[in-house]
Amino acid sequence: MRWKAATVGVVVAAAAGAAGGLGACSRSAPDVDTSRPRDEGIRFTSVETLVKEGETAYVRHCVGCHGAAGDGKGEAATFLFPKPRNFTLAHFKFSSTRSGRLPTDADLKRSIRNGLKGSAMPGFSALSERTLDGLVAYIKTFSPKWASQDTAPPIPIHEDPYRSNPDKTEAIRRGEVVYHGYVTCWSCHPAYVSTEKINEYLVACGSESRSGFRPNLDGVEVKPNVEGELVYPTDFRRDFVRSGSQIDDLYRVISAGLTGTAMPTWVDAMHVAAKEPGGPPLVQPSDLWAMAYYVQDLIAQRPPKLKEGAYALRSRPQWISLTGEPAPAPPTEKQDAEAVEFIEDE
Amino acid sequence: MFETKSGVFAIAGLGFFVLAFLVMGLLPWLIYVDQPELTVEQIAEQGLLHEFVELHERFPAEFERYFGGPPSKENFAAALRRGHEVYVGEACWHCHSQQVRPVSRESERWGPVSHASEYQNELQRPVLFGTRRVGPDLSREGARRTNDWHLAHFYNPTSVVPTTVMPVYTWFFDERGYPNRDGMSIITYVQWLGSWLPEYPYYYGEGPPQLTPPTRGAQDGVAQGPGRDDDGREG
Amino acid sequence: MSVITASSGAINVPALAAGRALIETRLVWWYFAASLTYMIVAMLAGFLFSLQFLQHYPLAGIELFSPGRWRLVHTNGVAYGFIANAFLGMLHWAVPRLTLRPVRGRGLSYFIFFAWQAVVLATVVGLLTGQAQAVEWGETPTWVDPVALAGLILVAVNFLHPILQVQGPMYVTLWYYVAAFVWTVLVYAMGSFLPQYFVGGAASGAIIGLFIHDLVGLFVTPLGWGMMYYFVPILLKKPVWSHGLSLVGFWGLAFFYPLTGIHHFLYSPIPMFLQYGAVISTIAVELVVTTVIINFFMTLRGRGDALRTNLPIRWFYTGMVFYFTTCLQCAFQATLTFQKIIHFTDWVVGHSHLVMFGVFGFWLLGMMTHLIPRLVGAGGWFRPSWNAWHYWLSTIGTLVMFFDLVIAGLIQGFQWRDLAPWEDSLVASAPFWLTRAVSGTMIIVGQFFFAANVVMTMLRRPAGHGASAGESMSEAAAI
Repeated sequence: MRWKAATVGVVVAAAAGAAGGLGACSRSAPDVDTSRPRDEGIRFTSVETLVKEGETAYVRHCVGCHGAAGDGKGEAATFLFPKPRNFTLAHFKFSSTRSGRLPTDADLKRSIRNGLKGSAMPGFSALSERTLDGLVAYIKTFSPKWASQDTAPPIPIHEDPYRSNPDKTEAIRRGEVVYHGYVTCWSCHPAYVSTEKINEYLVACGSESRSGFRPNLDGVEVKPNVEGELVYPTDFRRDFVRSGSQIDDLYRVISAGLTGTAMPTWVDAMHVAAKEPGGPPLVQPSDLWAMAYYVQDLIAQRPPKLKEGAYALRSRPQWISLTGEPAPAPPTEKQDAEAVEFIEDE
Repeated sequence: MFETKSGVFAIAGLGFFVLAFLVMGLLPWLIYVDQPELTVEQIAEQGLLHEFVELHERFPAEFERYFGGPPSKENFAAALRRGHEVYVGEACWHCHSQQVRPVSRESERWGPVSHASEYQNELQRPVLFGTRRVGPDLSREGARRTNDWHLAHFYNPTSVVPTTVMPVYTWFFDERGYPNRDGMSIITYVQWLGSWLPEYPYYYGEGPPQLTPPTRGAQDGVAQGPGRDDDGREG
Repeated sequence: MSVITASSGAINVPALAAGRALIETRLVWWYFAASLTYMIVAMLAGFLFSLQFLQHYPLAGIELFSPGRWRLVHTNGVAYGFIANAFLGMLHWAVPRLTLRPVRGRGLSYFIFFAWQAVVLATVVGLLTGQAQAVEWGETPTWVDPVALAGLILVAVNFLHPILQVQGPMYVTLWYYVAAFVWTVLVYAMGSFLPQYFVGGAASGAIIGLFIHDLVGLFVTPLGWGMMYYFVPILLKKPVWSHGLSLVGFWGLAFFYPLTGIHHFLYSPIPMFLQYGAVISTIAVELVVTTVIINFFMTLRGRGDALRTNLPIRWFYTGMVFYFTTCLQCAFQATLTFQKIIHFTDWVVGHSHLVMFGVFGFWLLGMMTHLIPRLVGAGGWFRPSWNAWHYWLSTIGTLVMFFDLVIAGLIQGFQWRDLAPWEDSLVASAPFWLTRAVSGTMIIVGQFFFAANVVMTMLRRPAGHGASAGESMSEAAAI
């Protein structure tokens, strides 16, 4: 009798369990994600609720690197370079607003969703729009800047004269001239042409030619950012660009600059009038697009793999302080002084 | 025959087994036998991973001590081989698959659907399809995350992903927290996964537009068989 | 219909006349002791691993206690330590009784015993030092593989020797055993050497699939069913219901089971027509299994009270119910439709626990429950109530674990398909993993009841009743 009762009990429990499990899943249709709240609910959500939800998501996804206090000193941070963003200082590098200004919500969401390629920040593309909203709301609680500063306007998006033409050769050629001749990206990023060419481009953009250049013009110029961390500017044929390499992403970064770093805002400075009146301007806002196409072309040249001996042997040691040992004095600049010539693949 | 020693021994024991082996084992073997199988040296010949070189950038002294010099084809091959040994020995393949299926929208999550030719190399012997996905699929993991991320994650996975159930692998590190030879090797191996794809390192089109449309490698073109289209949208 | 029980047949077999013992009772006991030891070690390894899923791994950061490595100890310990040892002991008990001849050699038998323990220990050491081979269930280090294969060949020689001397048709059990000896050697050779040294890429996946499933279907299953065909008629004191169904069961299994392996890798780059073939043969296996189950339940008809009064029978038939469940489940889960969702999820883990422990573990434990008092020379169990605890904790634990993991697998599978963040599937799985650890604890506690009972039974046995070979004759006659 005892045995029979137990059997019945087991069967009932099993059936109940199976029914519960199936019931939970049977409604899911491919495009309706039952595991996430519906996005339209956001209209009725207060900021407090969003912040609360954001905190949950922050603890689930972010806290390891960015820290519970949002100071970028999470447990994992010691291994990471570049260091995780310190939200209490609110220096957000990647934004559609001018350098030094706070980013828009869309900027923050883009960085979370796509990640910052080449840094330890992975893309959280599976998070729902609502979770991203919550995270943004929560991140804003770490710094008083968000309350004290006005919302900054995004940079203007000038018309892209090259977009309709599938052949980007013209844009790339123009971009090379502006990159080296006017914006002088090679002050920090590598120069991708000879010094003679640079001088030619400088003159073409209305500047004087130069006699001296920094020693490792093929390498990068390492500079500390506003928080004192060393920043290695991107070598476009070697490193990933963080904030996306689609053309709009590149335009945004070049135009708006990177808050906290030596990369300034260029969108307001793209005007050089012609030497003789009436001629076409030497530099104009649409050249930002040309530079974006040029940089994108450089990125496309990045070899998927490096051929032995055909790349610069760089040294970028970074201290890991697990034992609590203080880091030695930061390495001197001119990291890549001894770098061998970059030989193009193929 | 059905109850005799010879019948049971020869027909059921030997005969049916051999029949099954011929159909289910030898046949796929013969189908793929003319596919070239790359050795690790041939893989290294195709070029070094950026991430492997980057390990040298970050830990030059340690790297040269463990691998006997700056990055080269030889020590890249050595790192891949050792990384594969660690991957197998630590049973990584019991919680991580290396196979993207054409169903359940897996290609949206992980990247391109797996292809027979991808497994034709020494590091897939025996093949590491995987059996369980406690953690994500790894076959398109190369260059998706940085070495830094992997360092922190191997040292203490919950420090990076608070909800993870991945164990710690502190023995991949020296006492200062720098990766040792096994640590550098397993990172090299993981960063290598997927690096043979034309999409690598941009699996989702987040990269630059391809100036030339992606072409599959010469060794590709193995028949995928029927029913391999992505039908994950039916439920 | 040729039903042979141990009490029938002539005693004047030459070997017996020469004064050789029919059965090495002591060896049977040793095998069982080793088997139970490995079972508890392997289960503790599994429990340890389950703690990792709760993010509370007590030995984190110690290389030799790496959860991944102990996961290998869990599966290999169960396969080669628990199940193989228990079956070897059972074979030493049953084969001489069925053939009325002793095995090939007494020394050989003892040599195999120690060699096999060395193989299992070497495997554990190899796995814990990170030398696994990337073949699931065959992670035995590559340097152990040839030794293990030699051991399996010796086992086959040792037991085939008396079987091949039997004249005329054999009893069902011996069909399964003869085939199992051939299969085990072939399967082990195939899985351990081909993917490692001869075949690469997707084709090696096909062979690994065959190996994984053949290890269950051609090593464990035939030995298990052979054991059922031997012990169930003895314990119920009646013959098997239908000889014809026995034939269908054996030959159907022999034909279809070796063909199923590729169902482990559906939607993989293995050619699709082979995947279809594997699915169809898997479903065929389920039909075959149904005939065997019918046969055994019809045998039970009229003796249903044995489920209440006879604990070994209860173990056996519970295992059979689980067997039918798991095979039915298999027929569905091996279809392409199910695979879309449940492949790579905990569903499969639940399935394999039900098979390996719920079926074969239950049969072996039932068999030991029946034999161990006889082996150690005790009149009965020290505490029969502890055996009941053992049974109920194991049964409830297994059921809870099974349903828990199956439901967890569905949830994981649907979440993945819905492209939920990966972390969400971990969070959703957490309660199921906790339940799994609890149910695993129930099972382990049950085994502790059994182990304690075994030890106490041995300690409290009447003086002068050593488990020695000298008793074998009376033992043989006793059953």
